[in-house]
Amino acid sequence: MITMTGLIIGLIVLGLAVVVALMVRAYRSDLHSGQGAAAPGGHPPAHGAITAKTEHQHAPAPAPGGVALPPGIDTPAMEQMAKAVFEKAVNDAAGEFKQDVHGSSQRLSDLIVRLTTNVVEEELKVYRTELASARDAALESLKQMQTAIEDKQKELEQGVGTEMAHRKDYLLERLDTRLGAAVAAYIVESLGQGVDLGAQRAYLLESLERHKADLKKDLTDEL
Amino acid sequence: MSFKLPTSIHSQDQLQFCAEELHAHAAVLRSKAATHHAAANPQGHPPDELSLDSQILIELLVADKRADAAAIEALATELEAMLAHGARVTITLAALASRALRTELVEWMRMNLKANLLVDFHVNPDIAGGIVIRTTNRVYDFSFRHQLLADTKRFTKALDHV
Repeated sequence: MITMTGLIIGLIVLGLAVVVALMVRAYRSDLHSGQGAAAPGGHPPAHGAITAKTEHQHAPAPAPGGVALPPGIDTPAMEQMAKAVFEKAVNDAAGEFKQDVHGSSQRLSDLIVRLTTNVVEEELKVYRTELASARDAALESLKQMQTAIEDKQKELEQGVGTEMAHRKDYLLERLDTRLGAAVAAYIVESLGQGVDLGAQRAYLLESLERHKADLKKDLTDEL
Repeated sequence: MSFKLPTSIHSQDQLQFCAEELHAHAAVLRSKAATHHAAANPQGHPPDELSLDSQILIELLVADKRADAAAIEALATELEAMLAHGARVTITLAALASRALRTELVEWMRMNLKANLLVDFHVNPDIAGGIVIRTTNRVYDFSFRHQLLADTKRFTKALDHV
C-alpha cells in the first residue's frame, strides 16, 4: 500500500515537473518568438500579449494565449530556480521512488521468502506424511515378512525335528536289526557243529506242543 | 490192509526203499515158489538179506503171511500208496539228531498230529538251535536264529540292563 502511494506521489511530482518544464519551454519559445517579431518588417505581437521586448527592453514577450511575466523578473534566474526545483523534485521523487522500490522489493522478497517457506513447509509436511506412511508400510511389510520368516523357521524346525526323529528311529531300528543279526551270527558261529540237541529236547517238544493245533489243522487241510 | 508204520521208518526215502525192496522180495518169493523153494523158511522170518526196515515191515504181517509173495506185494503197494498220498513234514534241526530223538519226535507227531505221518529230517547249522517244521503249506520256524531275529530290540534292551 505504501509502495503504491509512493508511486502515485512520484508520478504526481514527475507530472508537475513535466508541467513546469513545459511551461519553461513555452516561455522560452515565446521569448524567442518575441525577439523575432521586434525585427524590422516582422509581424506585430498578438493582441493582448505581454512582451518584455516591446514594453520593456529586457522583458520577454508573452506567449500567445499565455501569461505575460511582470517586468523585472529575472528569467534566467527563474529558469535556474525552476530547474533546481525540478531537479530537486525529480531527485526527491526518484529517491522516494527508490526507497519505495527498495522497500517494495524488500517486502516482496520477504513475501516470496515467506511464500516459499510456506510452500516448502507444506511440501515438507506432505513429504513427512508420505515418508511416515511409507515408513509405516515398510515397517508393516517388514513385520509381515518377519512373521512369515518366523513361521517358516518354525515349520522348518518342526520338519527337521520330525525328519530327525524318523531318521533316528530308522537308524535305531537298523542298528537293532544289525545287532540282532550280528548276535545271531555270533551264536551260530560259536555253536558251530557242537549243538547239543539232547539239551534242546525239552524245548523242541514244548515248541511242538505249543503249536500242535496249528500243525494238526495244517496237516488235516492238506488232504 | 491198514497198519501202523514203525517209528524207525519215517522218511520218504526209507519208505521208497522198503517198497522197492519188498517188491523185489515178493518177486523172489514167487520165483522160489515156482521152483518149490518156498519151504526154505518155514518159521516165516524175513530173510536176512533184506534191510532192517523191510524186515520190521514184514514182521508186521501175521506169521503165515510173512513168506507170502502176494501179502508182501500188497504191503509194498500200500507203502507206495502212502508215499503217493500220505501226509508228510520236514523237520530241520541244527545238528544231526540221534536215533532216540528222531524216534521221539516221530512218535509225538504220529500220536498228536497224524498217524503214519512221514517225517524227513534235515540239518542246517545256521538255525543255531530249535526246530523248523515245514508242511506242504507252511513253515513253522521255532529256531533260535528266528527267535533272535524276530525281536531285535530284545538285544538292545538286554544291553540296557547290563
